[in-house]
This record gives sequence, C-alpha cells and structure tokens, in this order.
Amino acid sequence: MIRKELVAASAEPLILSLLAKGESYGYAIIQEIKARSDGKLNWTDGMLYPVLHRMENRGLIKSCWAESEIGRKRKYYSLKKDGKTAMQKHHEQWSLVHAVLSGLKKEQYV
Amino acid sequence: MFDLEEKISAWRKQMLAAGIKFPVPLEELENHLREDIEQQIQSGLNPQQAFEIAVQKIGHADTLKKEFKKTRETKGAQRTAGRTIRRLGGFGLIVVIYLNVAAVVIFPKSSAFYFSKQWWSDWFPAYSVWIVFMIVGIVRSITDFFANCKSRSNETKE
Repeated sequence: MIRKELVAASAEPLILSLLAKGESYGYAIIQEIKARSDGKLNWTDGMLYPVLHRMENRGLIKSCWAESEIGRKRKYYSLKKDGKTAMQKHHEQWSLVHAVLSGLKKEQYV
Repeated sequence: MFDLEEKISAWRKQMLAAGIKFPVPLEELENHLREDIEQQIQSGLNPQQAFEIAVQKIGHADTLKKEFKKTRETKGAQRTAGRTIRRLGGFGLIVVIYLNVAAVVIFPKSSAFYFSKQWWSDWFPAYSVWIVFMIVGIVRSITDFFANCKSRSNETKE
C-alpha cells in the first residue's frame, strides 16, 4: 500500500491528468485510479470530494450536475484552462523527481 | 429486515449532524454511496453488506467535515472571469452615479442634470461603458454555466 502522504500529494496531478481525457464524476474517477494502480492507490472515497471542490474553487476544474442515461444524477467535472497549465507543471515536476530517483537508483547498481 | 433506504436516511442524518450541511457535498456523497452500494450488490453482496462497506469506504463524518471546512476556506479564492467583469462594471457604475449625483448637487444647472440634452453627450457614455461591462460579465457567466454542461461524452453511457 502506498503511504498516505504520497497518495495525498499525487491526488491533484492524477485528477487533472484523468480529466484531461474528458469529463468524469467522483465515483468513476476513484474506480479508474484504483484500476490503473491495481488497487494500490486507494483513496478514502469521501475524501475525493473536498479535493475536487478545492480544485474547483481554485479555478482548475469546473463542474456541472447532469443526469446519466439511466437517470442517475451526477456531478461531472472537467478541466479548465488553468487546470491544463497546472497539469503541465505537475508533469514537469513529477518527471524531474522521477528522473532524479531513477538516476540515483541506476548508480546503486553500477 | 434490512431497509436500505432507512439506513441511507440515517447515514444522511449522521452526516448532517456532523456538520456537512451544505446541500452540494451531501448530495454528491449520497449519490456516490448509492452508486457504490449498487456496484457491490451487482458483484454479489447482499444490501446490508454492500451498505456497510460503502459507508466505511466513504469515511467518517468528522474527518470529511474537516476536509470540507478547508474547502470553504479556499472558496474566496474563486473568481471566474464573468464574475470579475460583472463586479468591475458594477463598481464603475456606482462611481459614475456617485460623481453624477455629486455634480448635480454642486452644480445644479450643469450638464450633470439627469436626462438633459448635455447629459446624454457628457455623462451617458460613461454610464454605457460600465453597463456594457456588466452585460458582458453576465453573458460570460451564463455562457460559462451552459458550457459546463454541454457535450456529454460517451462516459455517461453504461
């Protein structure tokens, strides 16, 4: 299981990257992250919503209530322009961390 | 006999008691809970087990309340373009009205007198600029709202 600090820190870049593919809603976001991480990135379901609401308040994403085809009311989230910029920054920063970590790891085996 | 609706209603009351009073988060959480329960039942659990697991997954009311409190604290940071333009227009309009009324009081026979021939050429342009700002802001807010809801993608298809 991944440490909760890392889970919290990765929530925003993951949500932004997921919404860059298209709009989505809370339950689907959790399911997709769970599936993509083989269940290792396990968010407390309810904790996703304060994160989404904060991101919306910061103007990174926007939301809209709509009804699904089976008549279920859902709040759909989608990326805003500032969200795309924030996502690119996250990608740069996480790539840098990844590159440094990979470099150090390689050196251990030389 | 396990009554799912009764249990969901009790869960909702528990959330309300903990302070999650804003209709949006609670409605969103309840929709999530119902969706999860449905998925658990489809995967073979009985309603009681499905409910208990879904409630556990959604988390404790107190913890959620703390997180939503942080959300409300950051709410002041939200400034959509439409709202900003609208407020700017409103502020400009108030300033012009204030100056116009002051001018009428100080110089009653000047062009500042409302709807006089001179008023239309001297003062009306200043009013119209800020009114245009307000209209643009309102239109922008309305289009933003509807833009949020447009083009539902294939993700909604189940």
